[in-house]
Amino acid sequence: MKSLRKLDTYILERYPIIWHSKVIYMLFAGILMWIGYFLIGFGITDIEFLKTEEIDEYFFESAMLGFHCFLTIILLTVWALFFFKKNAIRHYYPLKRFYFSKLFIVIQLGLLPIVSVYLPFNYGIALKTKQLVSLNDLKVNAETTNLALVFLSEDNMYEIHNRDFCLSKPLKIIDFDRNDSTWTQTTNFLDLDSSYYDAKKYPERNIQLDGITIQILSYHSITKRNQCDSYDLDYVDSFLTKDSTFKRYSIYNYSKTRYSKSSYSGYNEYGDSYSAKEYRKDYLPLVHRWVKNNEKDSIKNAIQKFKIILNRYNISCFIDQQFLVDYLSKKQYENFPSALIDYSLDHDAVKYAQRNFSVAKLNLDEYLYHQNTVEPFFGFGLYKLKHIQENANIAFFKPFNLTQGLLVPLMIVFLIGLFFLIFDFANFIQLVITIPIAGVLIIIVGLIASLIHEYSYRNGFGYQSFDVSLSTLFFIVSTIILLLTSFSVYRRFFSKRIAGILINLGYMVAPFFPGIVIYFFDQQTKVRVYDFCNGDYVEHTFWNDLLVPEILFPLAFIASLSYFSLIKKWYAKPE
Amino acid sequence: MNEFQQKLTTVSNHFTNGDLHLGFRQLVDCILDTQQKEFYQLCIQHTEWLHEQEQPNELIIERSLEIIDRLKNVHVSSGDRSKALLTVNNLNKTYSGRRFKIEHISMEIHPGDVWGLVGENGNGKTTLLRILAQDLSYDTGELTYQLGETELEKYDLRTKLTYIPQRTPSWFGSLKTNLKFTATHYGVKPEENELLVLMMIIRFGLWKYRHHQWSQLSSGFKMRFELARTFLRSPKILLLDEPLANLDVLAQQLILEDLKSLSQSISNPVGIVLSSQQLFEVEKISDKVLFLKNGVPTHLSEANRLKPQSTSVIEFDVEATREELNKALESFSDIELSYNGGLYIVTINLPDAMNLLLAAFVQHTIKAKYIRDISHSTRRLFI
Repeated sequence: MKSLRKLDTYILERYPIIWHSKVIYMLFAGILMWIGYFLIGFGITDIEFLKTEEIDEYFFESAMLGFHCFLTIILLTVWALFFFKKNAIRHYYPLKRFYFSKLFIVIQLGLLPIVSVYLPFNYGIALKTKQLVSLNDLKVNAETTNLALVFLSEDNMYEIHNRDFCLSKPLKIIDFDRNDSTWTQTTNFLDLDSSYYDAKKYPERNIQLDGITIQILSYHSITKRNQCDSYDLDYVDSFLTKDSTFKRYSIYNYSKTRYSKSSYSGYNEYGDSYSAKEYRKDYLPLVHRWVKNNEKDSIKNAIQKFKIILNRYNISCFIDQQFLVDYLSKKQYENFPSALIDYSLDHDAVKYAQRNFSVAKLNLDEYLYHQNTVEPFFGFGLYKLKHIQENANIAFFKPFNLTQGLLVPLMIVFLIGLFFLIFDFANFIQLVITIPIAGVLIIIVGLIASLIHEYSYRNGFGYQSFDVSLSTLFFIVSTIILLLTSFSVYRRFFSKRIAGILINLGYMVAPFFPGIVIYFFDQQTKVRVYDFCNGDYVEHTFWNDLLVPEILFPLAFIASLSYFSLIKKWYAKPE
Repeated sequence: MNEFQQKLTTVSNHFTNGDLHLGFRQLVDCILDTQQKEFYQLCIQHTEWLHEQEQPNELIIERSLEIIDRLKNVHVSSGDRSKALLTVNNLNKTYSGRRFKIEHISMEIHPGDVWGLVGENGNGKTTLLRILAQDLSYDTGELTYQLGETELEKYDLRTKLTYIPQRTPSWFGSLKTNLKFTATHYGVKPEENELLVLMMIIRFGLWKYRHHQWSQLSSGFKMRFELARTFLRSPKILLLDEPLANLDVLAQQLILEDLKSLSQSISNPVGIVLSSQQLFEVEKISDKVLFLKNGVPTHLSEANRLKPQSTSVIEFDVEATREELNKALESFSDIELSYNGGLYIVTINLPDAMNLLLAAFVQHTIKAKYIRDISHSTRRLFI
């Protein structure tokens, strides 16, 4: 206690802003919270947790967020009580240069650890995850799963025959000219994701090859055509490279689930980080050999390894390797129809079943409604394994979501900092008056915007015209507010009270002003060029590239800091 | 003997005459004038020791005189009193929407000046003080500050214009912490912060209360705290609005005496403007008094014009009937006697008629309970 008092005096005598802001205590509280949240994150993590939760989202999707908000509000209230007890400007004490900017930054420094507990929480989870699943496990699991899943049903779309055909002849590839816009007009679209697709209904798509019926799907050449979808484009690109591997394997010749062995990829079906091309290169030659040579033992072995992994994590698993291999060796054109989930079942229940136990089972309904009374015929908790694999991937390669973990806390801290600072200098009554005035202004701007909207559409100008008008309106209103604020501070014509209300309004507008200016210039400089993807006639200049949080946020910060210079001048103004 | 040594001699006399409290306060003023850490430390040690003493004793005088002896060798340079700190020239302000206005205000405040601002309630004293403190705008006239070498920005000017309103704001935390906060903002070096703050605490008699909170202090001590905080700001001009309100008689005297004494600081003389209803007390310490009536300054000369210098105006209260009083005053030829229900006011067409009036009372065995010559007091303007 004595040393705390000494520290307090030391700061008071040297750094009045730091002392006034109580940032040291906030940092101390923040550190405690970081330690606490780290321990919570570390403590709650076990294999069960990894099987069911997504670790990078858990904080935001669980009660942790609510608890943290509650804790933060209490802490901020206590802090506010101490913070507002002392005030230099209200006593007209000399203020050093950039006093408000420094105070603002110091406030944010104090707030940041409290707001950003997501980071230690996730670090705790990640650390524990690394202890539970090693990097080697991750690699082995990925390899084993990637190989085994080729032969296993993952969902209701399972069509085992489509997975392993090798083609002695190249497929007929519909090549296209990128500049030929007609190809995008093709409507010959076959939605393979549709649950009611039945290959038998399309005999014209079948070919016989090595005694096997193969259905050539036009799917690839249709759905991947949209050049506006960068993901699809990538895929089409790899498709169109006509690489040798493609010629030998059907488009369905790989597992829907792919894990990268060496880097973060996510578990997305057709995951983009670990591309289909890489996957084909890594696994399909081996799979192809096994199938072509009917290497049943190799396939059984791959599935057995997969089962071991599932068992290690205590994930339910009902897989009969022998049955699967036999089924595979028949090479019949036959779905796994009885494995399909009956969509007439209760949607939530199906989702629950999918999530917890990827089911392909004859009597699924019995399993769903009489759990554990009937042993499934076929199925395994793929989702749980996916979660573990994904969570481990995240823990090793991408433990933090930088947007959620840093950019969002910085923005929150920025807003709370602005909120705190305004109470430090503003006259309370004037501030209370400013709020309805700001509300009325927003309503007026909104009304004008609606009128412009209505006018633009009635006259057939479309939203292009509306955007231009809206950006101009925002620009004019915010510029007027800021100019009026400056005038009111410097001119005797405006009373201090009016200037006080204006300074509060300007304070609220200033952080948004750079964004408004950029938006305005973007709208003013855009030109009418046909946008192939959006079917519209717009092309933006470089201003549009500036309308991103990474640029707008620092600009808002700078704008606020610049605005603070008016505060002292307003405060010195006689009434 | 320079000014500082003269002051020390006065302080020394206070101690030898047994006026320990007065002597101690003025001794602290002398030490503050030195602006030397070594003496601050000495003073703090002395204060600690003093508070350990159960009752006044010879040793206190002895030790205090020892300090005075040591101070005699210190050179203290005198602050410049020639330049006006604030010049007000024909200042006018009208409140929009209200009929009240103040006008034709002119005054010049020099370092060491004490201006008393008197007048009935609602006559513009607070308005004028707030204008002088730059807290309120004015319509016409000139207001010139000379508080530094260069022209100050508005906010910086306001940091130098220390204005203590009638209702002082509450504060949080301990008294000492608040003073330290002020000192830090005013650029007091960390190594001097504690010393200077304790010196102010000592000077304004707050030693015992230095760890108290706002709610634990009486009105008098709250005012003392405000003064301590104000003097930590090394003010050039101090503007006080009704500093004596809510104070008991003793506290009023102490505050006034402190203000007078601090305004006369050798190294940092302060120009003071204070408003008050306590006419006599204010007049006692003021060099100049400004009487405001309906927002317009009324000078004593105005009253003198009506009642010339050769006239004595005496205010008194006696234990006698009006008849007895009339009889006692028969000997005065040209006399006006009025009674406002509480006090008699007599105007005698003679200069310095006080002694004659007292003699008349004695002669007629009239017991005087209160008597005051207000011939030269703004009290006359309230009649």
